[in-house]
Amino acid sequence: MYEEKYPQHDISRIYQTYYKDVYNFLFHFTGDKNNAEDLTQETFLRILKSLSNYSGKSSLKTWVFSVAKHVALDHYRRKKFTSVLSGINFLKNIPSTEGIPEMKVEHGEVRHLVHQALLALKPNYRAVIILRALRELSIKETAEILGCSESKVKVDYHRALKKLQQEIGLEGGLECLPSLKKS
Amino acid sequence: MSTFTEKELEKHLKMYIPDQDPDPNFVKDLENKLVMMERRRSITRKWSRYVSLIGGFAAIFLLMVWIISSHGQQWVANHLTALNDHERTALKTNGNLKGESEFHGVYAGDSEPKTIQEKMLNAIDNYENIKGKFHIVHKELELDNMVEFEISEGDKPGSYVVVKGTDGRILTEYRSDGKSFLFMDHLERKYQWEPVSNPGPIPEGPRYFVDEKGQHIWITRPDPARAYSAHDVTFPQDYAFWLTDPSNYKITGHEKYLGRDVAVIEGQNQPYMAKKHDAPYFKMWVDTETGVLLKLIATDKNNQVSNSIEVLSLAIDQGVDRTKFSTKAPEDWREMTGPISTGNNRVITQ
Repeated sequence: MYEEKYPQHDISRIYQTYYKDVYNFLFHFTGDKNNAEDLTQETFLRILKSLSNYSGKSSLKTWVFSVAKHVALDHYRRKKFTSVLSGINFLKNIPSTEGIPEMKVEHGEVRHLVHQALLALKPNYRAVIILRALRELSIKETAEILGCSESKVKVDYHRALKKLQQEIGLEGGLECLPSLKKS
Repeated sequence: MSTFTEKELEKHLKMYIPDQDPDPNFVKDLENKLVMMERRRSITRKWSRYVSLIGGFAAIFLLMVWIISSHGQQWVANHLTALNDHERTALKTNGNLKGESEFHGVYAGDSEPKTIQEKMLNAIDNYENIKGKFHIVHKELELDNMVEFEISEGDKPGSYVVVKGTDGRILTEYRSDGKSFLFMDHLERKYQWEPVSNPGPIPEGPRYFVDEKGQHIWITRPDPARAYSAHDVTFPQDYAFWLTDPSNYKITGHEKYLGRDVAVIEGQNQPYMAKKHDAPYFKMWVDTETGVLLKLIATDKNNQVSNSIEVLSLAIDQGVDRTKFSTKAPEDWREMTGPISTGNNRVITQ
């Protein structure tokens, strides 16, 4: 049995270790706090059910993220034409920046624009940006999670950033992004 | 219009899309939920293991029971020849005896049981004449008699059969010379005489079958010598029908009995026969050459002997005194009218 083979990988430990990563991955992917909570729960339920099938070939971290990615993509397919792409409620669920007053004052609108731009990307690009830029995973880990080659991760990441750059530029213009503006 | 590089965007992205802590209540609730589910799954897995284990043991146990019931008792019945009759009967009570198909080649040839039954059904074809004496007990018919007989079959049928009580007194006497038949009641000093006609053809086809109404049909053939009260031994058709289902009996040995080669047959009767004769279990000794029945022990469900036959003397094809076949009635006896009692109390559906 899995528990006998990997006693350190009981569901409680896995949850304690990765719940923040999973939650934020899903929050950034959906842009909605309630959706992120629902999908986090679904992710860990799937992990619990399939824990005995975990072979240990990949790291536990990438395996957990790959489960979260499947959950996110399933959600995206279900909500394709509604909340995921609309971004209607995005502002209501923008992350709190309390404790960082200068960001709240100066860059509140910028955060909104960047988030909207991220949500406007197609799911694959969104996922690769979240994993690489926000979760700071390596190319190898990202490739394992997305189930593709490392070179494809590189290409997709490059294209995703380019697309994001275009989205931000189109939406608000560079002048409103002081910290991103080339000095 | 100035622009920014991908590197700069990547660098600043985390700042503009910062992580946030999920609601602590949600985190705690989900953790509790997962722990509960894990416990439940763990218990289910343990029970599944126990159930599988118990199921495995049960399957092995049932397999062993099946092997023992289908082969073990037969092995015991076949090999522990030292068992006495009582023990054998007890053994049979607890398990079905199997027929020739499951004991291929153990005793005689595969066809021997069928051959013996055929010989019993047609015993009168297998000798010219027969002489002897036997003791018969039939609990249900309240019969306990000694029967002496001299019979001629073949071209010159005739018979002389005397039935005596346990005190040696003659009860009834039957004589036939092939043309007429005489019945004498020694207790009443009465007789009955009648001419006999051709007994009819020998039945063809199966002697036992189930008709379209589901009735069991047993076909007996007539005896030209009309040695009715001796038929239990000399023409044992009724007992041959006990051997209709090969799966209900088996030949358990071969012996010498009164100088004759006999096959020992043990088995269970079909429900109909068992009820009719009050004999669920039987053991019979049959002359392998002629099909004559030399001994029978039938037991009821309480393991009590319900029907027994024991031949005390026997001479086959050693000649008979034909003067005894005379059907001349004694002059000072009273003549009876009506049908003659043949002493054949068994009812066979024809």
